[in-house]
Amino acid sequence: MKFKRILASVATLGASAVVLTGCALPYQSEVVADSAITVAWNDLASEFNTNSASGNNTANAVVAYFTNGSFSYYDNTPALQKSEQFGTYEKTSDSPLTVKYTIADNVVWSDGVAVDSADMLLAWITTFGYFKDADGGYIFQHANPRDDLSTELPAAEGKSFEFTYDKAYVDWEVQFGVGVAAHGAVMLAYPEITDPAEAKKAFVEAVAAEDIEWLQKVADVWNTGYQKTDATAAEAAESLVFLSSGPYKIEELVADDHVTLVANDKYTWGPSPKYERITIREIGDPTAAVQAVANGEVQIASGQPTADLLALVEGLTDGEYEAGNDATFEHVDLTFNNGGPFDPAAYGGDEAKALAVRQAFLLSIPRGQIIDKIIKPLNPTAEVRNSLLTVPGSPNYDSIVAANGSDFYGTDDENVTKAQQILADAGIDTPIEVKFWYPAGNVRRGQEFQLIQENAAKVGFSVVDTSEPDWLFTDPSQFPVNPHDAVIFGWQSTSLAVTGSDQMYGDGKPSNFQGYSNSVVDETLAALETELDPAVQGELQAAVEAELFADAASLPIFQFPGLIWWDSTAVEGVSSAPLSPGYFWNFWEWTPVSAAS
Amino acid sequence: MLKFISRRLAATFVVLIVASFVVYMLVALTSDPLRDLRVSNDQSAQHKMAILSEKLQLDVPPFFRYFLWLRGAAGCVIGQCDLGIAFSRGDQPVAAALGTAMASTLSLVVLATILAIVFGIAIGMTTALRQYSAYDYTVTFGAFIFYSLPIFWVAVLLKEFGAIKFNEFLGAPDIPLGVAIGLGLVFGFIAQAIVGGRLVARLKIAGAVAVLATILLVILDATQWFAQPSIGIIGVTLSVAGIAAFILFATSSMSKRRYVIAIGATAALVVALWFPLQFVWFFLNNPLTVILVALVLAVLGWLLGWFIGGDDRKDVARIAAIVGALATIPLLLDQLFIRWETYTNLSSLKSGVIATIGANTPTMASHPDTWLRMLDSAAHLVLPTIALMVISIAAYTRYTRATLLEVLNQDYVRTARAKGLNESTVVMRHAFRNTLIPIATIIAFDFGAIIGGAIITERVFAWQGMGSLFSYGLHHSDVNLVMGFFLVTGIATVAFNIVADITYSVLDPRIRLSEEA
Repeated sequence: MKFKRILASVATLGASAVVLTGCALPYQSEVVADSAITVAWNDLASEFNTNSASGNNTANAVVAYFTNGSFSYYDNTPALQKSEQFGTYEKTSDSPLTVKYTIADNVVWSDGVAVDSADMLLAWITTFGYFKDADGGYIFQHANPRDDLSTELPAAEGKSFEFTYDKAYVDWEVQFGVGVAAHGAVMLAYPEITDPAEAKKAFVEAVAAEDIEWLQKVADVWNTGYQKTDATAAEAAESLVFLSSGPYKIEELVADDHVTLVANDKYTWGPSPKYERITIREIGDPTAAVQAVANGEVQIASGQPTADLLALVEGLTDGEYEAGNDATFEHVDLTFNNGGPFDPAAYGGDEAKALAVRQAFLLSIPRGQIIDKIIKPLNPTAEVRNSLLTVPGSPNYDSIVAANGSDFYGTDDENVTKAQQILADAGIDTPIEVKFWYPAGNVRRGQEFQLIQENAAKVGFSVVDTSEPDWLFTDPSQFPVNPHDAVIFGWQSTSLAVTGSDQMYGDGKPSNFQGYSNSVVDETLAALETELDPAVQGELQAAVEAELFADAASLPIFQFPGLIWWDSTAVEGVSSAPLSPGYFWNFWEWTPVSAAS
Repeated sequence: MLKFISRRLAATFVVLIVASFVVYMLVALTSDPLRDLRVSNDQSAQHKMAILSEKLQLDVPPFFRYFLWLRGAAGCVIGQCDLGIAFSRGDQPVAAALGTAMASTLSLVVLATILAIVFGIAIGMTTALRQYSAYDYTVTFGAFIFYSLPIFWVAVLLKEFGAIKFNEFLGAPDIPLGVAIGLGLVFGFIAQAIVGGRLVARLKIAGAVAVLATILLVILDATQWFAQPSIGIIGVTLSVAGIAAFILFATSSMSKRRYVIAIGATAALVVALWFPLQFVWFFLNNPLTVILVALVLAVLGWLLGWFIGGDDRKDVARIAAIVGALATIPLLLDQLFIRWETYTNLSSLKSGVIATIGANTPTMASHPDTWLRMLDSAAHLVLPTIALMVISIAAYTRYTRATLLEVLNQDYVRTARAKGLNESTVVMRHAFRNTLIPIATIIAFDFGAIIGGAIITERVFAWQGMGSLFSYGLHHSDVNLVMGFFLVTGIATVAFNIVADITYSVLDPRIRLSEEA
C-alpha cells in the first residue's frame, strides 16, 4: 500500500510539533502529503447551502461537515461538543436571552477572506426569516425560518455578533451557526463587485437599510445558486459556491458518482486532518460496498445491517466493523380517536376501560423477544429503549428513564400475566380485535408484527394485519383520522434539540397520527421550549414522558442498529456515531495505517 | 416506404402520448413526494412540505398536472425542452440528469451488447453445425442456466471471483503445474467438442490444444507474465495473425491464393507499423487516435487488397480493409498493457486491476494520459459487461441456432452443396446471411431496450446510468424524473421498432413495406 511510506513522517512531525511547542499548541498541520482515502455513502451532495429549503438534507450535510466551520458538533456519545478554535459563544443574558458569538482571529474562508460578523448577519437574517416580500413570504427560503424567535436586527461589526431572542428558547445552542459566506453570495449575485470587503460592506449596509430590492438578488443566489451537481477541478477552485471554512474544500464534483475533498490550505485552527484527499463515492447497495472494501476501492462504508450483510462484513479478511446504534428508534403508537379498541368512545366514553385495554396491549408487545431475535444478532449490545424523547447515551437519558414510569414494563412473561390481570380486572371481554399497521414490504417490521401478533394472542388480542406500503394514514387529506388501531414505525433524531416533540405528541400537531390529546403534555412541552436550565429541562421531559406512559399512548422498542466497516490495513481511527453525519463525525482522526503499526 | 414510415411515426406519436399519460398517472397516484416529510419529526417538515407542494404544484390534481408536464415536454419538438426539475436531486433539471445518465448507460451497455451479439451468434452457429452433439447439449444446458440466473447473484459472484480473488491472484500469481495441466485439458475438451467429427480427429485436436495451452500457461507463469502482463511485438504479431486467419476462415477464402496473400500482406504491414505507431500513440494522446489508426490501417489494407486482388479486387480489398481495422484492437491493447504497472501504483486496489464499482476511479478520471484512463475504464467495465453478456448471449445463442438450422434445411442450401461448394462456403456465404435477417430485427429491439439501462446491474455495480436514475426517481416519488426516463426509453423503443421493420425489408427483398407493389 502506498500509505506505508508516509506514516513515519507523520509520527515524526507530530512528535516534534509537541516537543517544540509545549502544551499551547499553535495549529500544526498533520496532513500527510499525497495521502488519499475513498469512502462510501449512499447519496451525494447536490447543494452547498445546507440551510436552504432545497439543500437541507443528510447528503448535503455530510459534505458541509467537511467544508463548514461550526461552533459545535455532535460526538458519538452523542453529546454536543464545542469547537472553540473556530469560535466561541456565550449567553450574555438570561432575560432577555442574549447570546454572543465570536469567531477566532485566524479563521478565514478558503479564499483568504476572514469569517466575520457579516457572515453571521447573513445566517441570522435567513435563520430567523427577517426579510419578507409583499405577500409575507420569506425572501430567503430557509428550511425552517423562525421569525417567532428573534426579530430585533442585530448590528454586525468585526468578528463578534450578538443578538437577542424574543423569548427564552431552550435550543438556542443549536439554533444558530455560520452558513455560506456573505461576500460569496453577494459577489455571485452582483458579479460587478469584485472586492470581498466591498461586498461585505454593501451587504451589511443593505441589511441595515432594509433594501429588499438589493437583497432579493442575494436571496435568489442563496435559495438556488448553491445547487451544483458537477464541477471540474478548475470550476471548484474558482467558484464562490464552494468557499470553505472547514478543514477541507471541494476539489471535484461528479454527479451521482463522487465528490473529492482536498485539505484546505487556509485552515489553521481546530484539529488537523491527516488525509490530503478524501473522496466520497456514491454506492447505494450495501453488498457492493462490502465487496468494494474487500477489493480496496473504498476504505470505509456503512449500511443498514441485515443478517446477510453482517455475515459478509464479518468475512472481510482485512476489515474491521462496528455495530452500533443509529439515530432512528422503533415504537408502537396507539390510536385514541378512531372508535377502535383504544378509543374511550368504544366503551361509551369509559376512559378507564380504554386505558386498561391500551396498557394491556402495550404490555403484550414482546419487546424482549424483538430485541433478542431481531436486533441482537445485528447489534450484540442492543437494549430496549425506554424513553420516547431522548436518545440512549444522551445526557438526560438515564434520569428520564428512572422517572418516566417505563418500569411498568417488565420481562415479556411478567407483562403477559400483568396484561391478562388488567383486562380481567377491568371486566373486558376478549378477544379484542386490533387493526395493526406496519409498512408492507419491510421485512424487519413484518417479523416484529409476527412476534407481536403471537404474543398478543396470549393476552387476548386478535391482531389483524392492516399493513400497506404507502403510509396512507400519514396523509391527513386522505385520512383525517388514523384508520389503524396501532402502528409501528421509527422516529429519527437529527439532533439533540429538546424542542420538536410537540410535533408528535401535541394536540392536533402534524405528526400526531394517533389523535393523542393531553393538556398536561401540551403545557409541559410549551414550558420546556422556554426553559434554559438543563436540569429543569430533564425534569420537564421526564414529566412529559410520565404522562405519555401513564396514558399508555406509545411504547418505544429499540434503537435502529447501524453498521460501519472499514479496511483496517488502510485506515485507523474510524468509529460510528448515531446522529448525522454518522461515521464522518471524527474524520480528522482518520489516519493512514503504516505497515509497522 | 415514405408513406409507411410516416404512418408508423403518426401511430408512434399516439402510442407515446397515451403511454406517457398512463405512466404519469400511475406514478403520480401511487407515490407521494411528501411522505418522507410527513413521517419526519423534523421541526421544519411543515415548512418544507409547503415549499415542495408549491414547487411541484401538488395542489393541481394529477390529471391536470400531466398536461402541465406535457406542455413542457412538447417544447422539445421546438428545441425548448422543459422536463421539469428533479426535486430529489437538489432541483437539478431533468434534462441534465438524463444527459449524464444516458452517457453512462451507453458506455456500459453498448459494448456489452455488441460483444453479446458477436459471441452469441458465433456460439449459436457452432451449436447448429454440431446439432445434437455433446457440445450442443452442453451449450443448450448452459444457455438455459444463464438465462434463468438472477443477475444480482451473478454480479456478486463475479465480484468475489472475478475481482477480489482474481486481483489477489494477480498480486502474487502462481499457477501450479497441476492447475496448468488441468486447464489445458479443459481447453482441449472444449476444442474437440466444437470441431467435432470422428473420434480419432477429435482426440488429436484435444491433445494438441491441451498440450499447447498447458505449455503456454507454464511459460506465462515462469516469466511472471501475470504479475506484469504485456503484449509487445510478439503478442501483436500473434493476435494479428489470429485475426487474419479468422477472417479468412469466416469469409471462406482460406483456399484462395490472392485473398491469402493480400490479407497476409496487410497483417505483415500492421506488424511492421507497430514500432512507428508507438510514436503516434504517444504524441496523439487522444481517444480519436484509435479511430484514426483504424481508418489508416483499413485504407492501407484496402489498397493492398486492390493491388493484389486481381479479378476479385473489390472483394479482396474490402476484406483486407476489415483485417486492417480489426488489427487496431491488439495494437490498442498493447498500449493499455504498457501502462499496467503505472496503473497499479496509482490505484488504491490492494492488488490487481479489476474494479467492482463505478465507471472509473475518481482520482484517475481527469488523468492526462488517455490510454491510462482507457485502462481504468476497461478495468471497471470488465465485470458489469460480463454480467450483462452472460444473460444476453444465452438468448442470442438460441435464436441463431434455431434460425441457422432452419436455413440449412432449405432447398437453396442443398443446391449449393450439390454443386460441390465446400461446407464453409455453404455456411458462411449462403446460409449465414439469411440467418442474420431475423437476428437483425431482434438486435434492433434490443438496442431500443438497452437505452433503458440495466436497473439491477447498474445498482450492484454502482453505475449511475438510466436504470439507476429510474429506480432513484421511483424510490423518491419523483414523477418528473421517472417521466424523463420514460420519455427517452419510450422514444428509443418505438424508434428502434421502426428501424427493425425497415432493416427487415432491406435485408429481405421479399418483404415490402408499402402496399403499392
